[in-house]
Amino acid sequence: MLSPDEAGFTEFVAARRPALLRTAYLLTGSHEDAEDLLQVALVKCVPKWKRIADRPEPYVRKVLARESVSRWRGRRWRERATPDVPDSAAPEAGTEGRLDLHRALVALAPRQRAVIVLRYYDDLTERETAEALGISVGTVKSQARDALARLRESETLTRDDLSSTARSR
Amino acid sequence: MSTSHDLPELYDELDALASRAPVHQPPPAGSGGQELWERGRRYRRQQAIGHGIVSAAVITLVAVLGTSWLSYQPQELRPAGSIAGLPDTVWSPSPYLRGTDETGPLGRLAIVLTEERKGWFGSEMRPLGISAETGEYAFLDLPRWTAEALTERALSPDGYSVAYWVTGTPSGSPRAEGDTITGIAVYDTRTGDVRVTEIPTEHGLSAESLAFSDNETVVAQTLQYVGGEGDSSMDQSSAIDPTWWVWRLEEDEAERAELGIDSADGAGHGNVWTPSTGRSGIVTVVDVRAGTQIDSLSIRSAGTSRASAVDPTGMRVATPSGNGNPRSVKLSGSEADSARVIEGTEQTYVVIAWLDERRILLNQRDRSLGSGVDQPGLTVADVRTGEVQQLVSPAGDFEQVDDVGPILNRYPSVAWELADADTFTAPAPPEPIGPWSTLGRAFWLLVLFGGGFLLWRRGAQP
Repeated sequence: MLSPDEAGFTEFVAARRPALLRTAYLLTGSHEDAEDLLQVALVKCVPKWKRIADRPEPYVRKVLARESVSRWRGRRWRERATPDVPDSAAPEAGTEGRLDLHRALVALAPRQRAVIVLRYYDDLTERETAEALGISVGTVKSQARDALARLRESETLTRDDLSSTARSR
Repeated sequence: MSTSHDLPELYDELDALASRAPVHQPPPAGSGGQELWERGRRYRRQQAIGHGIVSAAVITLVAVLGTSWLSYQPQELRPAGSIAGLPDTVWSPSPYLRGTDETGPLGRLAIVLTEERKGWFGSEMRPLGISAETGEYAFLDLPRWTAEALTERALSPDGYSVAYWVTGTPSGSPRAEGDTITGIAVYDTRTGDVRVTEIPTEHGLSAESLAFSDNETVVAQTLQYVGGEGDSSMDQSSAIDPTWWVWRLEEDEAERAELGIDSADGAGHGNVWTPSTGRSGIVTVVDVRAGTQIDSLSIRSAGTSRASAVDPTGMRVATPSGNGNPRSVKLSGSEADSARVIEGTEQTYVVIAWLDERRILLNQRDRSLGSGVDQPGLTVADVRTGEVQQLVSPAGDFEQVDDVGPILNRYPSVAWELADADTFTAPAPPEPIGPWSTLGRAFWLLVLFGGGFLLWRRGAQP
């Protein structure tokens, strides 16, 4: 018989795992690391569950983002932007832009990557992003500016590329 | 700043990239909700252990530092402004006691000793004061202090002033080695103020005698070193030109004085007197302020240097004399055959002072401690009746500890005017833990808890 807290947690994991895994994938760049990151973040939320049970998602995303920065900062040199997406035999047609974005995203510093994902994928405000990462709003702005500049340099965000990329899910 | 709504293309790109996440694959083994919950509970327990280690480390560190700080706190001091007196007990002081730079002035002093003071690096002999008001012990932080003088400091009879030699820069070259003494200072024990009188010197002074002839007069004798750095070693170690200086404290400077004597053995009641010479010697007594000789006293047998005292009239001298040391005190006057042994003064090291025309303050072996313990205390003896009263006793477990040096050493500076006041029950001084001991304990604690914390962190993974 599960306790109410455990039942609530299990239900949350089942419901929100896909969305959280997507964010984790953007933060890490690999399937394996994304699974690992998500599990670590969820485990770390258990001691706080009683307090966050009413609205757990913001806290989980906060732990996810901070864990991605702290854990992977030290491993940055080990990450390689490979031409092929891991776990994929060959790039599919029409996904070249996506590969460039993936490569460019992986090449960003962990904090820059987290800012991009939280601001432009999870749609958090600057203040919410700052709070999630434990940094100032000014730092969010500068990190986002620098990250976008690097993404533009990699030609990931040229208007032609963007217009030719179809949304696929 | 732009948001995903302002950069919809970027959102679309990220969303498309995120679609490659393995959301449709079954979760890896051990990552289901219940398994994650269990792992979370274990993580919480490990966190609690880690917090416990850190808390224990902090508490223990605070306890160690707190214990070290508490060890510096004196126990049960009398309130400031208490009626001054001599303490009834004197303890062997710790070399790690604080100095007056930290404690502030001690106020009127009862006794000044010279004791070993230790710090982070090395040790040195320093004056230590015992407050006549509170009973507090503290090293006296005297600016420009030097321990190289023969008599490095003197305490006024009322305990309000400490005179000492000071170092400085001579007019010529100082000697290559040793402190360069250039003057005399007087330290006010109530305010901590220091007054200095500089004595002209080319290569530095050889400090010979220093004493208070009364509460307002310092008498000192100096020689001048012949050479400084660059001169021969013989010149640097030779001193000539013996000069007496008298500093009336109502004046700013000391003045040369012609006292007509070669050296001084003691001072008090306005006088200074010479040591006796030979087996049957003469003690010359000089009125310091007047600069005139009062009397020549004859001593039946030679006394010990700095152990005798002349009475307020200048007519009689009390001296420990006889064979061995300590000895009985003999009373001598102008007439050689007037010498007699004072009853009750056996085993006296030093006659510190005459309190008045009948009583003398002695540094005498404390017989109450037993025959095997050689520890001096302070007693008052009546030269007419031989009645002896114990004033100050040394404290300690002398039977357990062998080879304990005299606590109240042979030549303590005593504010003897306090001998007529009631003694007070003296608190024992603190026993501070040395700085290296504290640092060592803190270091090993950090190693112990740090190691424990690191081991915990290795195992405490979510």
